[in-house]
Amino acid sequence: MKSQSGCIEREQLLAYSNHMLEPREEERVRVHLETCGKCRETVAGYEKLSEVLDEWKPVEPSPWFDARARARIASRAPARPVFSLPGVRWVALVACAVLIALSGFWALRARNHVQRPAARQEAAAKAPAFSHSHPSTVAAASGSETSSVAQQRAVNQELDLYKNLPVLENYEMLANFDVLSELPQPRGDSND
Amino acid sequence: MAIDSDLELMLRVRSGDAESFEILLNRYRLPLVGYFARMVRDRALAEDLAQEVFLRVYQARSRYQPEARFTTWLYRIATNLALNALRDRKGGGAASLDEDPDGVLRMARIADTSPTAEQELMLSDRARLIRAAVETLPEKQRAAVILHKYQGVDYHQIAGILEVSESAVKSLLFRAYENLRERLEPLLEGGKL
Repeated sequence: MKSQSGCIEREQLLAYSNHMLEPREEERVRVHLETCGKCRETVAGYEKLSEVLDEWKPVEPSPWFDARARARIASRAPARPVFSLPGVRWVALVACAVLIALSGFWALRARNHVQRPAARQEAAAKAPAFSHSHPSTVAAASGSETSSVAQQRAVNQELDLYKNLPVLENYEMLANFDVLSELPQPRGDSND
Repeated sequence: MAIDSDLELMLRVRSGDAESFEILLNRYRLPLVGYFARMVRDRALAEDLAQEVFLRVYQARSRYQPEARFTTWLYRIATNLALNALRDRKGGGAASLDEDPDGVLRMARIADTSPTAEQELMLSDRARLIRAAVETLPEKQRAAVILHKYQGVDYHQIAGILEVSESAVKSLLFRAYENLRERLEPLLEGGKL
């Protein structure tokens, strides 16, 4: 790109002196510089500036730089988890599976141990209670409990309940109950 | 033996290879310390910041995506740290060429051409004058010039580091070099301080 005076813009000349132009553009500037003293002077000024800037030398890292960098990384970076190592990961998975299976097995076994004595105690507790209330069925209960015996026991229990119903003993109270008095009376009683 | 590219090394670091990280550390410790020393002047701070860059690279290794060049990523981390450090201490009295605190500019104008040991001392003064001139540049111009002139980074990469367009970099560098040309005129004209 050229300015109004026909010279190449300074920004382009700077890029030329820094070797930052595309080959075609660089060639165009080079051709222009052959005939333009002003632009040549500008480019020479940039090149001189670059040389002057080179006088500012870099500093070297101190001898302990590497050690400090490593120590800093070691202190701040979290240690790699053991389980992230490829071999260990599979071993850990298998070990976990075995542990889960073993704990399940032991849990089941412990449950069975607890249930068996409880069942025995329950059976022992039922037998005397049954013989006390129904002496006639003791012989049957001591053997294998058949369905007919069970039915008989249920009938007996129902009969016991009827015998002991407390409401029947309070007939007078029920007779005076308001709701009952509103019910239609039996025919024999209606003399009105 | 073929030299491993930064990309190859970084991919190996990502998969847990500590040796590859050591190679990167050795490869970039000098450029990074040099970059920070020019950006923040303080050498101890420069080393501290360079170590911080390596730490961040190491911590981010698992997230590294080889889309941009490794050096673009490295210098982006470095530039952000440097600019933050400069902002943190802003007002703390970074050297200004306008104030000419060391009198270097004045000395440059009255310098003679006598060689000898005094010239060696003058050479140091010239470097101080250049440093003071670069330090007067706005932060982004300073970073662009240091990256371009001293770290050898091209326009395209500087655009990636500063996260601006390539044409913005061209303009940024042009203004920076024009400023430097003006401020370092005594050195450019006299040739000797």
